[in-house]
Amino acid sequence: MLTQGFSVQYSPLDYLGTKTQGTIAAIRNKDDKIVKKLLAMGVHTGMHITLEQRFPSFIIRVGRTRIAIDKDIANSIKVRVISH
Amino acid sequence: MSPQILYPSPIETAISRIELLLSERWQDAISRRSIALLLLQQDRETRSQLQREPYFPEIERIISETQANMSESLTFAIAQTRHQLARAIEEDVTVHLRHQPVVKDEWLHQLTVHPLTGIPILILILYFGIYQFVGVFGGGTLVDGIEGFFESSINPVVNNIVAAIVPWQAIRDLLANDYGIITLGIRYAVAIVLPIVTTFFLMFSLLEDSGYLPRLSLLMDRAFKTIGLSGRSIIPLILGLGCGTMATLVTRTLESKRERIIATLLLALTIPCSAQLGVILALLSQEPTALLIWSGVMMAIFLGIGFVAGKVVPGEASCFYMEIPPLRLPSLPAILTKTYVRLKWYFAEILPLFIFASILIWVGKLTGLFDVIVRGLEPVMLWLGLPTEAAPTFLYGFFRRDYGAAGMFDLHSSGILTGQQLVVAAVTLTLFIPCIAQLQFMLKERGIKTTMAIAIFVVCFAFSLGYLLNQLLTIMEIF
Repeated sequence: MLTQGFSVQYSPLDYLGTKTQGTIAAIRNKDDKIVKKLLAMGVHTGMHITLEQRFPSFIIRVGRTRIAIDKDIANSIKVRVISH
Repeated sequence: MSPQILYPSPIETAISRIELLLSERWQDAISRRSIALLLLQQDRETRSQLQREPYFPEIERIISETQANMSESLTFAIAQTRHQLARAIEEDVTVHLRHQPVVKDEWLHQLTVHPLTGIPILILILYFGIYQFVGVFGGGTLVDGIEGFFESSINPVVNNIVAAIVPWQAIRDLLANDYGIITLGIRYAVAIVLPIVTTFFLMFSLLEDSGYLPRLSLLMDRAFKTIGLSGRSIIPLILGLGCGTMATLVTRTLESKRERIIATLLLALTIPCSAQLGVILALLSQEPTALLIWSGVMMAIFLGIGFVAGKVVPGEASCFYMEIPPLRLPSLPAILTKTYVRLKWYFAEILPLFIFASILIWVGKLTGLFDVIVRGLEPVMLWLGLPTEAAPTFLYGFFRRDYGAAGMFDLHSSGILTGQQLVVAAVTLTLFIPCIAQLQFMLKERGIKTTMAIAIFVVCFAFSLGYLLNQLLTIMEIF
């Protein structure tokens, strides 16, 4: 199918549905400590990310690591969606 | 040799400028490049070491200049560069199989984290693991066996031997009889605390090694946010069901000061430790209504106080992130080793306190100081609708929470406490101030001000709630 116009290129992780796959476009949080922790766990821009679960906590898979995060932290991960 | 990491050019420039500024004395310890990198990442330790140097303002200026040239934070850029290199190395050395085998435990992971299946699993694990194994088996079967052995075979022998060799009654009471070091201190440690704490640590190590605990945290996170905590806090709180002292120590793994204070308060006030839990469960299980009321009241207080504390205690709302390791079949030797090490630590810490408590009780009784305090407590007991004989139980409960609960056990066996009194006493004792050891660790971890505030609140709250509960139960005529 041909689609015209343009779609939203990236969105906060907490807006996405379960099983969405994408690439991390940016990590932004007002608390620098949280950004550091995410980096330490291997959550970097450019990495492939899969959203596995939304409730009761967000579960993401980045590389071979699986991480549980809350909504606030999920919001700080901006994702360029590849497939739903 | 290992490839040198090349950071984005503004950072590389900053590194060489800082390297130039750093004086000779840094040459031996760590490389100047590392120092420069630590400074660029705002490492507190390195900053405080260099703060007095004359060139420090210049370093500061370089850092802020560099930051101004970058779109993201320096820490982020540095970590990103490192990670990219690490990934490149990994790509280089790993072989990807065409058909990646589906992880075979995947379905089990899904079952444990999906809310529809995860929560029933959580309840089953807590029911069988904690209640049945620790409470009923450890606190019931094992305690009865060992305690019975002490009562029938060891205590009479010790009493007789002490009576035969020691001519003074005071010294006899120090070693033997009702509150002696051997007959009370060692008996409580070996017969009541040892089996309960061992079964608890076994279960906890099993849950820990299977990788279940992070899944427990993620299931509880949303619910815990309403009481000002995060899913992470479930670990110290569950540990608190084993030993409040150890749990208070573990609260240091929590993210924010606010979360640590709330968890410490909940541990001090509402979470009964395994020794106490074992005795209370054994005691109340003979009266199902009493058990139901006790657990209902404790739950309500836990949630209520948590909710209020979440609103009142200052600080940022807690955040939650946790790596979820794969589920593993735990290895028995590892579990046994962990349990052994924890028990060793536990007994090294508490056995002296048990003996110390016996001595304090002995001194208190000998000097008549205890009689004064007990008489002071007697009106409070009447106020709670309890017989005056319960007063010593509360006093001893201060030395160790389980002393209090165990004392209650004796009172019930001799038919002094009835149903309603049992509930009121159990609730008040569970809420009552933690044992000396836990108080000591609260002081160490939270400081004198917070500890005093928590302790005063706990005492007032315990007695007021006991009073209210007694009034309520009388009006409702449940018993």
